[in-house]
Amino acid sequence: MKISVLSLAIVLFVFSAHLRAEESVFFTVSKQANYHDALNELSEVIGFHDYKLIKIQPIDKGLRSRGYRVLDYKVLFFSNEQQVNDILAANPRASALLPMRIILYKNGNKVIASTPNMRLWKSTFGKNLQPMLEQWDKNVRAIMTDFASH
Amino acid sequence: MTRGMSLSFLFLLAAAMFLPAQGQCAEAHDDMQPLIIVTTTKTMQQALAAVKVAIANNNYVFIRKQTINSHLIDKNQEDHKIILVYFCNFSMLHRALRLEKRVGVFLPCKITLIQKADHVEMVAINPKFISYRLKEKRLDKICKQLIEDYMAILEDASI
Repeated sequence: MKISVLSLAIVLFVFSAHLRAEESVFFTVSKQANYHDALNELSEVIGFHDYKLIKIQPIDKGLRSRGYRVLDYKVLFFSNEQQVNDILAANPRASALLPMRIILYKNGNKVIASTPNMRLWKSTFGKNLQPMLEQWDKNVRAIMTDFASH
Repeated sequence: MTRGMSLSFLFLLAAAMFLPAQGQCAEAHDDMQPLIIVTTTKTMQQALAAVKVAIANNNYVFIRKQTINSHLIDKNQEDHKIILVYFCNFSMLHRALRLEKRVGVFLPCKITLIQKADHVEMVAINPKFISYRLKEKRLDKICKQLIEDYMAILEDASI
């Protein structure tokens, strides 16, 4: 009986370790806020972290103009000159990940912000880009955390 | 059931739980690469024009193009060797967002054109790479359509 329990524990450990090995696709935060206030706050926080807001893509407006009923939904694109210069010097293909982006949408009385998990790409562009991607990941998580606690 | 049989059963169970995930990884060949890269011997301007035509021919709407450092430096100093092209199929976008709102981080669709010495690389994030990790079965059909459309646009533009 003891051996069976031990075996089961091993099975569950192996299985859970396998599940943990998968990186999440998104990093997401939420807070209760008015959508337009949240949009302004997020835009400001991006600036505080030395990134420049390049564009706010009004996905909601594009869909509504075609007759779809959607709640507020926008994509904020941001980057900075150093980030672009670094990526061009290291591997121009990685520019497919730029500019960085955060989506902001309404869900009930909450506003949700979500961004791609940069760690997902760590093995894609070779070892020399890994520190850069880790830094980007830290930066965008800091933006998201500041926004959520604002 | 003897102790030996119990152990065998447990190890078979372990294999049954573990192997399907390994099987999915084993499928991770070329069509599961994070990036789709298609090259063309066209010039950057020709490739850009061809991408716009291919977008329209495949029922997508061209949204905008920009250089990689657009809005970051003076307009006359922008690097035109890397151009981002955004496009969208609003019906597909709406269906995708109804299933999983967060997929919008990978939308609208984007192709990055990279000028090399004697060719242009057209690079896109592979929707299948994302959908495989999302493990959201309901998005599979849309992702399958999306990757077919990406390939059609890139191949049309490369000819």
